[in-house]
Amino acid sequence: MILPWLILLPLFGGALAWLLGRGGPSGPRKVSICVLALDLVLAALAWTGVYGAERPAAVWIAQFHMPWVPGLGIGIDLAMDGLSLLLVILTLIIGLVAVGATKTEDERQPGFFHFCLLWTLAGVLGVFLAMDLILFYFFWELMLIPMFFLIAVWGHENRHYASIKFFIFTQVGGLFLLAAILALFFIHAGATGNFTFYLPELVGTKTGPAVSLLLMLGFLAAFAVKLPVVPFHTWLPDAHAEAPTAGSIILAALLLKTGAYGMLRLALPLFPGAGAQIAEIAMVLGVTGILYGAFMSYAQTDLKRLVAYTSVSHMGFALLGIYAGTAIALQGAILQIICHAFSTGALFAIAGFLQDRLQTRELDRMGGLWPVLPRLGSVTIFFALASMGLPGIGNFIAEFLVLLGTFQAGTTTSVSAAVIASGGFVLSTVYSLCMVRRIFFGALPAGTTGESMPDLSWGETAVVAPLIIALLWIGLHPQPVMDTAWVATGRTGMISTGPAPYQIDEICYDRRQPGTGGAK
Amino acid sequence: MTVPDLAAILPLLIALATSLVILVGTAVRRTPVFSFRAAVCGISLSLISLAVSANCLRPVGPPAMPLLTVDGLSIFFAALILCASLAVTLLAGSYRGMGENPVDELYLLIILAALGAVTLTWAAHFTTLFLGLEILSVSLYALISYVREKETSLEGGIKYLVLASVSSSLLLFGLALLYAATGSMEIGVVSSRIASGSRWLSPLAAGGLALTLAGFSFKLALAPFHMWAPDVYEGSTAPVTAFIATVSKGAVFGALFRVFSAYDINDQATVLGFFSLLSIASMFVGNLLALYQENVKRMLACSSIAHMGYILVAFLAAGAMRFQAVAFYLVIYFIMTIGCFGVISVLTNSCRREPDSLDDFRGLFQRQPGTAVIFTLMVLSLAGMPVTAGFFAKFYLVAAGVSSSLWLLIIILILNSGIGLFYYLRLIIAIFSGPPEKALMPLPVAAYEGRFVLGMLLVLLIWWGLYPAPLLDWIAWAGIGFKAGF
Repeated sequence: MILPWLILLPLFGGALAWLLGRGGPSGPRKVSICVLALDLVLAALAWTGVYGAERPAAVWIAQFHMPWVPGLGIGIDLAMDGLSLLLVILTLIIGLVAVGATKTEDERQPGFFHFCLLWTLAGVLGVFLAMDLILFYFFWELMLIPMFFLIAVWGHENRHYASIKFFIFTQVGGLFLLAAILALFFIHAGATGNFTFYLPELVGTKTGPAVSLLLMLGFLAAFAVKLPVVPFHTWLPDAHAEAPTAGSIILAALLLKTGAYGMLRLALPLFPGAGAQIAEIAMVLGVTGILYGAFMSYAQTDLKRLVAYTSVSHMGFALLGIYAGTAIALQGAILQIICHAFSTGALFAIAGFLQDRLQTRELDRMGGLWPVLPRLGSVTIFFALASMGLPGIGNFIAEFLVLLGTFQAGTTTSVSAAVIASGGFVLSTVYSLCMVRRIFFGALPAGTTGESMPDLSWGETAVVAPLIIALLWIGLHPQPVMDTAWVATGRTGMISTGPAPYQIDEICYDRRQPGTGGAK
Repeated sequence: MTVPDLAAILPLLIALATSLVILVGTAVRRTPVFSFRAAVCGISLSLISLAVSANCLRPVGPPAMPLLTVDGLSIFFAALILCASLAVTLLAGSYRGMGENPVDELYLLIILAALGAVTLTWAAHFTTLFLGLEILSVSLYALISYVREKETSLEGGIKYLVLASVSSSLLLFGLALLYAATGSMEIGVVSSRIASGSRWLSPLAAGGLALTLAGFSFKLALAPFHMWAPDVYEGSTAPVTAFIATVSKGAVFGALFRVFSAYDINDQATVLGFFSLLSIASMFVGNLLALYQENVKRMLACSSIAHMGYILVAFLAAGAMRFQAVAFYLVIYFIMTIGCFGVISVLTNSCRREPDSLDDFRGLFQRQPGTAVIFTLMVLSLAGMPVTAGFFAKFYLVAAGVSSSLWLLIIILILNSGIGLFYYLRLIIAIFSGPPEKALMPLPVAAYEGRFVLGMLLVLLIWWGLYPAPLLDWIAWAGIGFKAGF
C-alpha cells in the first residue's frame, strides 16, 4: 500500500495547500514541505527494505494492483524496482529543493502555486511508478497541466509563448505515444486474446520488424521531446528560461528525466530489436546534442537559457548511454540522470537566488560579484565544476561510464561517438568557467555601484547543501546507487538494449573499480 | 397501436403533452415561472418514463412498429438528448440576457426541438427521419433568433433558415434517390440492401448516400457544410447555443447510426471515402478557423466543428469499439460543451451583452475562482487532458481508430489536437492572467439553477474522468440492445 500513498499524498497535499492559500504563502509552503518530507520518509523506508538483511526474492520492491476500467484491461498497476525507487527519491528531494528555492514567487496566489507544484510532482511520481501503460500515459499527461500553469501564471516576461510551446510539443508527442500504446495493445490482444495494458505482459509481444520500428518511433516521439533529443528540443530553452525558479528546477531535474525513464522502461524492453536498429542514429543524435547544447550554451547571455542548453548537452550523454548497448554505458546513463538532476537543479536555484538580488538574468548585467557574494560564488563554482565533470563529483562518474561503455561497444559508430563526445568535456569546461567568470569576476557592469547584497542565507544554504552532499557522495562512492538501480532492473530484464541480454551483474561487479572514479 | 407500443413511446408522448400544456398555459396567462416548471417537470418525467421504454425491450424484444424503433440505441440517445435539454432549460431559466422578451415560448421551443431530436434518433422509416429533423430545425430557427433586438441573433437565424432549408432539400433528394436505388423507405431495409451490394455502390445509391450525408453534415456542421456554425453560435443566446451544439448534433449521430449501422463502413469504399474526407476537412477547417478567434463563442463553434471531425474517426471504426467510442465521446462532448456555454450563460448579466470576447474572461480566476476552475476544466476536457473525462473520450477515439488501422485519420487527429491546444490554452491563459487595465465588464454571481447545472456537470466530468467504468457499462448495454434491434 506504500505506492499509491506516495502519489496520493502530494495530490491531497496540493488540494490542502490550495485551501490554505487565502492566508498567505506560509501555510501552503508548510504543507508542501511536510507532504514531501513525509513522502520522502515513505520512500526511504522502501530503500531500507532493499538493503535489509536479505534482498527480497520478488522482482519488485513493492507492488500495487486495482482494477480501473476492467472492460479494456486497464488497471491501476504500480510497481517499484530499484530504478523507480531512485527516481522517486530524486523527485522528492528535488521537490523539496524547488519549494525551498521559492522565496517570493509564490506570494501571488500561493495556494494555487503550491497546488501546481505538488500535482506536477505527483504526475512525475506516477510516471516513475506506473506499470500499466494507460496509467503511465495518464500521469504523463497529468504532469503537463500544472507545469503549464506554473510557467504561464508565475513565469517571466515571455511566459505565455513559452508555456503554450511547451504544452503543444509535449502533448503532440504524447498522443503519438498513446496511438503506439493502443496499437501494441491490439496486436497483443489479437495474438494472445489477452486484453491488457500491463507492461510486463506486453513485453515480448511478437511484431514484425517494420511494425515494431513504427511502434517504437511512436513511443520515442513522446520521449525524445521530453529528453530532449536535438531536433525536438526547441521548447526547452524557452520553457526553462521563462518558468519561475521552482518550475525551472522541476522541468530540468525531473521532467526531462521522465523522457529518459520512458526510454529505459518502455521503449527498450518492448522493442529490443527495433531499439538495436536505431541505436546508431540515436547515438549520433546524442553526440550532436552534446556538442550542439554546449555550443549554444556558450553563446547565451541569459543565465537560465545558458543552463537550459547545458541540459541539452548533458541529456545527450544520457541518450548516448541508453543506446550504446553496453551495461556500463547504461549504468552511466542512469547515474547521469540523477547527477544532472542535482547539478542543474542547483544551477537553476542559483539563477533564482541571483535574480532575487539583481532582478535580472542577463549575464551582461552581472559581473564582479565575488567580493560581494563570496559564499554564493563558491557554491556556484562547485556546481559549475560538477557540470563540467570534475572527478570526485557524481557527474564525472556518470559521463565517464557512458563514454567508457560506448567505447567498449566496439562498433565504428560507437567508438567514434565516444571519441567525439569526449570533446563535450572540453566544451563543458569552457561554458561552465565562462559562466562563473561572467557572473562573479571581471568588472562590475556600468551603472552599478556594487552596493552590498545579502550573501547566501541559511535558508538558501539548506537548499543547496543536500545537493552538494549528494553529488559528492555519488562522486566518491557511487556503488550503493548503482546497486540499487540494478537490484531489480537487472533481474526483471526490464532493461535490455540488444537482442542478446547481457549479464548485468557480472559486468557490473567485475568492473567495479573503474566505476569508483573518485579514487582515481 | 397496442398498449406495449404506447408504453414504448411514452417518453415522446410525455414530451408532446408537456409542449401542449405550456402552449395552452401561455395562451391563458403568461407566467414564465409556470412554463419553466412545467418544462422541467415534463422533461424529467419523460426521462423517467425511459425506464418504461427500456422495460418493454426486456421480455419480448422491441415492439415492431413501422415508423419508430425502440432499442438500446433509442434509449441511449433519448436519455442523452433529454438530459441535455433539461440542463439547457435550467440554464435558460437562470439566464439574464433575454431583455424584454417573454421566455415562455423558449421552453416550449426547447421541448419541441428535443421531441424532434428524439424522433430523429428513433426513426425506422424515412418519413419519421425527415419529420424529426424538420421539427428540430423549425424549432431551432425560432430559438436562434429569439432575442429579436439583437442583430447578430437575427443574422444567425436567417443564415440557419436558408442553409437548413437547402440542406433539408438535399436530404430529401438523397432519400428519394436511395428509395429509387433500393425500393424501400425503411431504414433497416435500405441499409442492409446497400450493405449486400458490391464494394463499389451503383451511381444511384452512391448519389443518394452522398446527398443524404450532405444533409446530415450540415446539421453536424462538418466542413465544408460548416459555414453557419460560427455566426449561429455567436448570435444565439448561450443556453440555445449549448442546445444547438449538443442536442441537434447528437441526434444526427443517432440517425447516422440508424442509416449506416447494418454493415461496417470499412467495407464500403465509397462511403468510407465520403466520411474520411468530411472528417479530415472538419478537423483542419475547425481547428485552423478557431486559432485566432477573439470571440469565445465563435472559437467554441470552430472547435466543435473539429470535434465532430474527431468523432467521425471513431464512427469509421469497425466492430464493437465503434458504437462505444462514439457514444462515450458524445456523452463527454455534451458535458463539456454545455459546461462551456453554461459558464458563459451564468456570467451574462442583464445588460444584454454576453461575456464572449477573450478579454471578458481575463482575470476570471481572480474574480470568480469557482466559475474559472469549472471553465478551465471544461476546456481542458475539450483538449483531452487527464482527470477530466475528455481524457478517456479521446483515448476511446484513438483506440477505435487504431483498432481498425485508420492510420491516416489517427495521425491527422493527433496533429489537429496539437493545433487545437493552441486556442484552448489561449483561453485558459486569459482566464488565469491578470485583469486588463480597461474597465471590466461586471460579471454577475451565478444564479441557483445555473450553479446546480454547472456543479452536476463538473461532478460528472471528474467522476467519469477518474472512473469511466459505469458509463462504459451503460453504453455497452445500449450497444447490445442496439444490436438486438436489428
